[in-house]
Amino acid sequence: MEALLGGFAVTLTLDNLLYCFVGVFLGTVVGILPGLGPLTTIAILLPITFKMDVTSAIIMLSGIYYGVAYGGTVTSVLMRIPGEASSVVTCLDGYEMARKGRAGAALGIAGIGSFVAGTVGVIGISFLSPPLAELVIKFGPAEYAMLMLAGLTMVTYMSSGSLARSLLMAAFGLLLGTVGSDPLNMTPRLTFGILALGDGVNLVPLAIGLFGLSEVLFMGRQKLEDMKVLAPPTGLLGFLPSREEARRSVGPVARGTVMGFLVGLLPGGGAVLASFLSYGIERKLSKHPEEFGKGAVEGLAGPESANNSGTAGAFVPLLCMGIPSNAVTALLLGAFIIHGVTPGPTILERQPEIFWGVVASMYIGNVMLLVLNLPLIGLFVRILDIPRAYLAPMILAVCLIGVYSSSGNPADVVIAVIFGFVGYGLRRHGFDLGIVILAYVLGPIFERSVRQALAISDGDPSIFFHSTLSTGFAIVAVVLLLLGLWPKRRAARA
Amino acid sequence: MIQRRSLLRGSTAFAAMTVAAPAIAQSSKWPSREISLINPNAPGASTDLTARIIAQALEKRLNATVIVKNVVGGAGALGPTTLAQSTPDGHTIGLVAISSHIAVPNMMNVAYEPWKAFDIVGQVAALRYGIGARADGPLKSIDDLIALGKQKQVTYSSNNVTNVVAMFQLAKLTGAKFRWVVFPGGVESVTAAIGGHVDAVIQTVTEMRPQIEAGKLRFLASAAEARWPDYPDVKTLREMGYNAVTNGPFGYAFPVGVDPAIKERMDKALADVMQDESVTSQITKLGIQAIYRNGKDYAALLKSLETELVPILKETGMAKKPA
Repeated sequence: MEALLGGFAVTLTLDNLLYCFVGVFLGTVVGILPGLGPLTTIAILLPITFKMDVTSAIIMLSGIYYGVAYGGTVTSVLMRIPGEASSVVTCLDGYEMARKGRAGAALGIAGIGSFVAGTVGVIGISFLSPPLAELVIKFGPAEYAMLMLAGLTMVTYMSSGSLARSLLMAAFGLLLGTVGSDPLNMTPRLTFGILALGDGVNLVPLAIGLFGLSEVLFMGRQKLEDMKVLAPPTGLLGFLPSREEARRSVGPVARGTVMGFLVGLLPGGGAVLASFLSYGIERKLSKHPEEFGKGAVEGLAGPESANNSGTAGAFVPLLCMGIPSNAVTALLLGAFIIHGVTPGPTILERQPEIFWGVVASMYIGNVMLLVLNLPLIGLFVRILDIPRAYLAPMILAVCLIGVYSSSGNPADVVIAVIFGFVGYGLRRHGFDLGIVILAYVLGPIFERSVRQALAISDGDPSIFFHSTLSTGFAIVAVVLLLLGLWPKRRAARA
Repeated sequence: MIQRRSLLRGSTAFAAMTVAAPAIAQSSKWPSREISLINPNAPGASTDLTARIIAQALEKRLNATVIVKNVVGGAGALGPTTLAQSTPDGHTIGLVAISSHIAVPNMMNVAYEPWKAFDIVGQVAALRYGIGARADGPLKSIDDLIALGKQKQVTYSSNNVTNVVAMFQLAKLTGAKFRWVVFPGGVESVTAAIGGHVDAVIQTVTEMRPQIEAGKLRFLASAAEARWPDYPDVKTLREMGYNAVTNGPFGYAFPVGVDPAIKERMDKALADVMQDESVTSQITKLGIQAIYRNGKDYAALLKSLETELVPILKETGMAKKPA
């Protein structure tokens, strides 16, 4: 506690408050602009920080990272463009809420949920870091394989239609995930000799194509006279969640926060998995599962909280073990090292002022983000006042620029356009696209882990039940699968 | 972004038009716009961080903006391919290493000839490798590792084929059975070793040091040519009597055909950068050895490593099938 107060002393200097603000502000902006992700932004700013004080540099760069999780919601809700993989789920119900004229409420709930989750996540970092970091190293290939298996059972929870259709979409996602380099041999696989596919289909063009561009195509199908405004919010109260919406959000926010933090600890797809898990669980627990996909508040509040606390959770292995959970935290790790700080178990003993300074700045940064974002909601929802005839080309442009700037690779733009048409076709026939993304993200991690585990055990499958953790996840996977299938069968019989 | 792109295309067209003009005119105008430094790895990789340090130092000496461009993709092939296909007007330079010259061309079909497509400027750094094992595990020395490998199959983690050369050589020399388990990143490899999921790990200092410092990873041997400066007591494999070493050099090159006068100025600038104590100390902080070789020597070094690596690629099934 004393150490944390010391951290606040470090952060509450004029300089560091300013850097914190610059960080979270940039993060919000970058989050709103799809494609331009935290990775590019931090990489560009890194050399500028060479001359800065270490703590200030890290405070600013971290601010960008967790600020993005706030901003990413805006385009998901208003334009159905996922800014980040972890906001794909937000597109499902957030956008439907916007279509019903509840855009302000959706952004408000997401903002408050993000704040709660972000803050609880930082509290988690403050008090639980060392023991939790120890847990992370217990995860080997066998444990990951079983965890991903459990994650993949979410397919049965995500679907609104028939199970066969869901499985078809899952298979499609898994197939997309196999394109690229073989995870162990690194030899090209299913690339058809196309260089751009050497690392597989990238997530940004895939997600933006399936969700954003397909929506533009849908808009294009409407008759011009129907292309009116997208149900603008009415009056000042339209920006605030109603009492009913607020009440229904409490549970999902709480559950999403806790689960997001725990899953976010794990390297590889943590925040993405967390948002999908939260969606699946909320749907299962909801008294109105039929509303999911049609603007259910729970389907927005849970995942939005989960991806924010997941972002915070990722700091635990980063700071305490020096283990990055994704590309962005890997870059942050590089930033630490370049400044002569070695994140890891020794940071608390040797450079406590940096550790606690950064943690304290995250409390302050989260408050800044809330104050920054809530008043802007009124401004953001004005986007919906734009007639669709103008909005559609705007979304198109934003999507394509976003895809290009994410990798600087023109081939990704082509891939996004292809998936725009694919997404349009699939949606017209009532397939769930969220499942595609889920399978696409988790499938490759599952494949790699299974093959790593079998390489370690020399082909003996009993390795998957060697540890309590992996056996536990295997059981969870089976239980989730049975629970997911059960009511459907009953409904089918009735 | 798109606007800049078309601007670039416009200026390369212009450069192509003026190609016939006397070389001297071209070199005196160079650099006439920003210089792109192509890095085939993602932001945050040690090559990327090094590139950003070098780029900043080059800017002052060349009086031009130097931008690091991460051309990531194609399983490492996209960067060198883009470099090889860019206009050789001195405004594009890029990373060349074992990956661009040996690993990638032997693993997949690439659209460039590795030994002909580049004018190498020089080497700037070398990654330092080491072998480690879980601190609370049974392996206390390289001899323990070898002894265990003679009893049963020993697993070790690493993320890249260039890293594992020393382990393959060690296995050949001693007859021990080592199995490489591929992990997607260097830190993941180290984590797998300290978690006891694999028996050992071979990675760079950057990735191993935090866990060695924390007492979670036991540093068994330096797999580099020399001992690690931070750990002078830990011997190299060679000093232990095993002729096994992993090399990790990287440097920069122009696409082939750059005006010799421009290349000479770049050569000089890079050599000067590598004399700069503030640059080398920043690189050293990353756990990387700052080491300069001129273009000719660096090309010779890369060529000499080819014979070590190609058999490993074949043995692991990583080499492409003959066409």
